[in-house]
Amino acid sequence: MGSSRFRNFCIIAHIDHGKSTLADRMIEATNTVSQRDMHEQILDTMELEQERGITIKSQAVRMIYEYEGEEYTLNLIDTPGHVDFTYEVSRSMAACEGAILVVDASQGIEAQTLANVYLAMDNDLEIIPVINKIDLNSARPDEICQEIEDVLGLDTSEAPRISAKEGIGIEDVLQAVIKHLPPPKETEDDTLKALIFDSYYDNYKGAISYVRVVQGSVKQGDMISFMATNHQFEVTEVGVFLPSQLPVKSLSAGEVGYIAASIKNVSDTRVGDTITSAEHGATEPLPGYKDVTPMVFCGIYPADGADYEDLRDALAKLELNDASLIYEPESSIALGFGFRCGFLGLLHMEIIQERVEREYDLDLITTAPSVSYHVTTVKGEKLVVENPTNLPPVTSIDYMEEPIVETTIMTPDEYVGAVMDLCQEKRGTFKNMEYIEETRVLIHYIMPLNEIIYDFFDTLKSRTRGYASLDYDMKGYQKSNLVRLDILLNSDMCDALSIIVHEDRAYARGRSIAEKLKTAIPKQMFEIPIQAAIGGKIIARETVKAMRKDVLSKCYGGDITRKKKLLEKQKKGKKRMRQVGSVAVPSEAFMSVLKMD
Amino acid sequence: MSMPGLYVHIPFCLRKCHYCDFVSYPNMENSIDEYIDALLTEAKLNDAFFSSRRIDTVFIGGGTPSLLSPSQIERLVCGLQSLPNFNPTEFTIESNPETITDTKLAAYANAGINRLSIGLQCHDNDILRAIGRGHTYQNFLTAYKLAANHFDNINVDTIFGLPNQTLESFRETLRQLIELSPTHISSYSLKLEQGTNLYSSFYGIDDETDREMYHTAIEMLSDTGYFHYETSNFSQQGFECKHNMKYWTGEEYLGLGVAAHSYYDGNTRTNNTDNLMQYIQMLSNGEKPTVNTITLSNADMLEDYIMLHLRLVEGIVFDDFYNKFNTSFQNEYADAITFAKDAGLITITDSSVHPTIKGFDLQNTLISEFMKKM
Repeated sequence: MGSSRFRNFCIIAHIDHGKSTLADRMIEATNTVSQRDMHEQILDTMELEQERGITIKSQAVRMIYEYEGEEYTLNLIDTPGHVDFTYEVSRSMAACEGAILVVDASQGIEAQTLANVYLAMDNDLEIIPVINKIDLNSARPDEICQEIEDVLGLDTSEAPRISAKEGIGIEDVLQAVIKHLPPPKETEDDTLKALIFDSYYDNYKGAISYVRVVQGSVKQGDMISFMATNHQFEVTEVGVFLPSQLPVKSLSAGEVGYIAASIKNVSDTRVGDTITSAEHGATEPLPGYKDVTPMVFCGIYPADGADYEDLRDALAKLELNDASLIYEPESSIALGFGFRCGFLGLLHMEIIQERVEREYDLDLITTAPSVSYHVTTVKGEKLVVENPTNLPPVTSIDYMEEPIVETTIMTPDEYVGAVMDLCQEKRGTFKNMEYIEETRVLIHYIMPLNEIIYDFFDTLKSRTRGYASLDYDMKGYQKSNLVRLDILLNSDMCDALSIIVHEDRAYARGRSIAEKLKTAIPKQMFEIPIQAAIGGKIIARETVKAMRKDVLSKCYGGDITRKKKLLEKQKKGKKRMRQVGSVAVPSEAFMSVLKMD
Repeated sequence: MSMPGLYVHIPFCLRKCHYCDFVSYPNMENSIDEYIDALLTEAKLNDAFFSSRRIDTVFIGGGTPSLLSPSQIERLVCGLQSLPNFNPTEFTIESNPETITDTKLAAYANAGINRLSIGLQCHDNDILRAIGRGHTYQNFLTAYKLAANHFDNINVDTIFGLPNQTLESFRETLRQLIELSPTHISSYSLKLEQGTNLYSSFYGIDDETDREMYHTAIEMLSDTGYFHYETSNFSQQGFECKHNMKYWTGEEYLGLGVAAHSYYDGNTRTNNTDNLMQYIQMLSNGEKPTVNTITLSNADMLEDYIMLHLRLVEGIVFDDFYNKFNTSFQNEYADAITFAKDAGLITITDSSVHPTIKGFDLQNTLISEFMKKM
């Protein structure tokens, strides 16, 4: 079968607009998975994905569909939708010729959809708009089509109007894919070039690359080279996705599949890298490869210090499957031994934390997220600071720079005031605002990333009753008046609670942290002053009053086991506390400062 | 010969008090006779225990032991008296003013019971009603006066930190009691236990007021001839509850009845089933109702010793500790002693360490400090 009967595409959608459901229906309609094995959100294999209804890792599925007497091979690449994974999404798109844009018939376009559509356009994808959830009473497909035409400039005259949930219009979508999406381009050159759009670690087969073969072909026994690292391996297996792995003889230009080559380390199979032949291979890789650069950092510590080794093993195992997770050991006076971890963004951070806690049964203490600051010292040295503790003394700093992003916020117009107030509070600089519909507005702000990683998204959601959506894009670094805010407990500094903030925001943050710690730290035998300080200057103070009563219940009829159990429970609770100078601080206290007001 | 205590649990009540989470069953009076049979069977099954020891104290607790009729009490005590070496010097029964009658009191005294414990809790009738007690203060006074005709040794239980109880109200309870001059007064800080009525309806008073009440009790009772000898217990000279002291000083005791606990042979703790029907069933089959047996390690015994002795005003006496564990308390716990001393939780003398009032207030903290090594 020639590549003219291949169609490689992805689905773009905002969360909850029905991406996974549409994928499920297409898989069913093409009988790709037997009914017995079919279940909801079949492409989201991780428990966390199923639970949250999100896609974290890319996944692919090959479907066979007969149209006008011809058999077509449709490769659907399911990608994450979240801004944290923009690079991964862009590589998945580079592996496709087209995209289905799913838009909820009552909700319309969201900020995230927009970002991903632009990404698809950047990758020269042909886009088929699909209007989903037409069965809902609140559906307004005509208006939404108009919105798509106005905002995105896409023709919606032939856009399938479907209900993935009810199974309405699925054939229309499959046929539109065949009719409107182009087949892979024919290439003259048959030197192997395969684009890695994701990778996965298998305990038996090693790191497996998910690839789109752009030119040439690859089969078992071939020697291949990864162009970013120049490491070479012998192919042990190639195959396609059903979506389970099905070995095939070879993968040729235009095809989507996987390559296993007994690779020990997932960092050899980097997303965006090009696989070529070890001998007489390509000299130029496919365009678009980028090294992973973490945007958000935080310290991760075991709640029980004795679990340090287990935490290290857990991170090592997660790293096998996630090349964008970066970590190195660090230690804190308050928290002992742990790791400084770098993430693509806040969702990525949350996912990793949750997976460590869930899949490895570890309780964690995480420190406030930080970004990467550029510090220039008076001596002219340039430093990169990802941990507030490592910030040099104020006197030796010439100036500091912080990462800034352009945020795109989409909101119903009644919340414009609330959104602008929030952006202003968070040191945003207004760029412009556009109406995309009569009552929907797109607001652009330039904002410091360190304001976004704190509680921006939660606050945005709560001030707009959940209607606003957010996307952001790195815009580089800018000079800023930043200070380190330290927290002192009974006069001892607690390094794990230090944060870097803008001078103007320090007072408010200091006061809010002190207030939260006051409720999170239990009464102890003495009064505990909680102070927030910049340099030597105290800017906020709260006090935890001394404990007055801590007595056992009555010892009845010689039953001492009950009291012993109570004491042991207390003792266990104490073990989970961290000693900061003379003060015992429970794990929750470290986390409480991260919560929004 | 060892001189253990014997505890007998009577798990029956007219009604459940709103703060109570002990094992007791309201509206089960029909089972009392069967239950007494079971108790006596259990006693017989422990023949080996009794024959090698001399029972020194007996405590019939509950529940509401005074719910038993005079004849039921006679049958129970008679049964106990037929045990080998049964000749207690202190024999206590717990009672509720609601169920005390002169006939019952006479039956107790006749049977050889020589100490009566009465649950008063407080003198304010509104509060008594609010916590689910079925008696008034006047009922108590009547019962107390009857009891004083039969007993020289009477304890009255009080509770502080009750709903709507003010410091002044609690002082008044104590003043009234001091005037009656019982030989023993217990004064407990209310603990809200999960699953009780009060737990869901009352948040508890603030710690500051609770401690003011506690300190007031210590002060008022000490000023009027009562010795504070244990966290919540006060007595006139020579009237400490010998039975309870056995729990705290690590002497042996055998518990009979539902949910009863025992400690013997130096390292064995056991407890019975807390299910009344199962208890009766097991004994009618001639089985011991023990559901847990714990063999204590040396570390456990150390922990228990410290935990229990730090409830006592006498505290930990170095010689006694040395005799038990063959090691010096001062050396073993030097760090904890220094910490507790610096924190004002204990006083150190040449022969002992004992809790200060702050040490009683923060008893868990104090004990935990000494349990850290484990």
